[in-house]
Amino acid sequence: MLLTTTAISVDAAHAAAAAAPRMDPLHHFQVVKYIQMAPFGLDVSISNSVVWMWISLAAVFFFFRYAFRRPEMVPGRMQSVAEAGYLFIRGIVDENIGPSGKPFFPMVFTLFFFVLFCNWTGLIPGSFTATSQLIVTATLALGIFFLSIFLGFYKHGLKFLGFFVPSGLPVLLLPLMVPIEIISFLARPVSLSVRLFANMTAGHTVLGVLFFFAATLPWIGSWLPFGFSVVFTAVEIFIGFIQAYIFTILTCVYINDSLHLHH
Amino acid sequence: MATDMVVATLIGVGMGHYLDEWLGLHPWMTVLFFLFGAVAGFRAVYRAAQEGSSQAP
Amino acid sequence: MISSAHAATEAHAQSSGLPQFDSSVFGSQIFWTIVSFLVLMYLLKRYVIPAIGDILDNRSKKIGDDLQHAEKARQDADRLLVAYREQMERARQMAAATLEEARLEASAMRDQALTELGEELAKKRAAALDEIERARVQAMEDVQAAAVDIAMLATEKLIAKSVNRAKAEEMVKDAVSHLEQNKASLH
Repeated sequence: MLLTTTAISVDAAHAAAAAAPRMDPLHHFQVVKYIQMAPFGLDVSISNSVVWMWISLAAVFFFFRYAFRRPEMVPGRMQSVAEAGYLFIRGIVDENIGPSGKPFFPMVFTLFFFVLFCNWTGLIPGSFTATSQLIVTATLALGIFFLSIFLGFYKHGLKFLGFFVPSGLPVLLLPLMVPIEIISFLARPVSLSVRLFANMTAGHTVLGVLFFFAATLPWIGSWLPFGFSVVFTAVEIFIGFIQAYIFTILTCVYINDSLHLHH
Repeated sequence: MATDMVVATLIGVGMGHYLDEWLGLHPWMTVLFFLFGAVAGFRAVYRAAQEGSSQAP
Repeated sequence: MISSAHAATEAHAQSSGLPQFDSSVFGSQIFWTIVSFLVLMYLLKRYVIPAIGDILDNRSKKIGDDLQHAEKARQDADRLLVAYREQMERARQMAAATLEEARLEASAMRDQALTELGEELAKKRAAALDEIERARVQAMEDVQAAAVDIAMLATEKLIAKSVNRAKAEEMVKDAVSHLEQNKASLH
């Protein structure tokens, strides 16, 4: 099934160009607008990226609904997994923000499973990885970035600007340190989004190349890349989790910095 | 970690370039902020390394 | 429609490297990322997170309650055990006391019975001795009376006629046999 879907998508991509199959792993990241629409100048076109984002989010929602269709005191397997996920996020929030992080729990919870399921559904052959789109990860990261700025000013007023002035430094060093602090702060959303985007793009590119070889090489030659691609899919499942985890942890760290200002 | 390094440096360069355009000081601000960015990047890597392996890739 | 759109965007991507930097698809993705995220957050907050929180809270509460119940049951059992032991001890002491009492009573009864028996026997013995004494006295009196009778009889005969020796012996024999007859009637 893996092989055939890859082959079909490769064929479909190149049938129009009327060319022989050639390696183009990047076409996995090609956004295709299925429905173009832009009411009031707002582009709300529905593309493969958006559709797979919805599939991922529906999977998150229905996974939890299904796991808790009949909540038991002694949980079944699905319920245990769902509860473990819940406790995992609660642990991250407690550890990185503390008791004042309670209001942010739903957001962090949503963020983690949003990213995790987008990473994972992207491993289904023929699917699309929404988190391999820099604009998607950047939207999430900038949302967190602006939230942290808002929280900082909301909680501390103008004292939040002290965030950029390291305490206990000689005044002479301040002209050096303040720009560095500002750069570090601005780098947060960028590195947050680039890290996720780059990991997803790299992983899926490698998978795409392996699948391409598996699909196009003659019979015997295809087994080796196919074996590699199976192993690498397992690695990608792990990386998808780790990246979602890092994204979530850093979100909590940023929120915590804005709430508590100890820097 | 590598991401932190590259991103911080690029942001430094970008800010320096913008300041140069604004103040007409080519290329000094770009050079200065490249250094700031590099320091910020190194510091991020250093902190990540100190905090342990949780933020490895 | 899909394949033609694909071909069109592919041509565009060819010129700008990574398809991710094709800015013509940014707007819609920004919009849908924000909307989708908010919708998912609303749905999870409304339908999922409270359910899980409730279950976890209930469970930890139930575990706490169970522990408390178990502790209480253990204390009850301990109390019961102590009470049981006390009861056993009391029963044992009571049994020992009863036994001792019974033993004392039995020994008292035995002593009394022995004393009574002794007294009875002594009384009977005294009565028998009295009887014997009375019989002896009676017998003595009887013998005496018989001897007097014989003597009077013999004297009478002797006086009435002078007797020769042979006659006298016969008379004594007669008297003795008479006496013997009397003696037989005495008994």
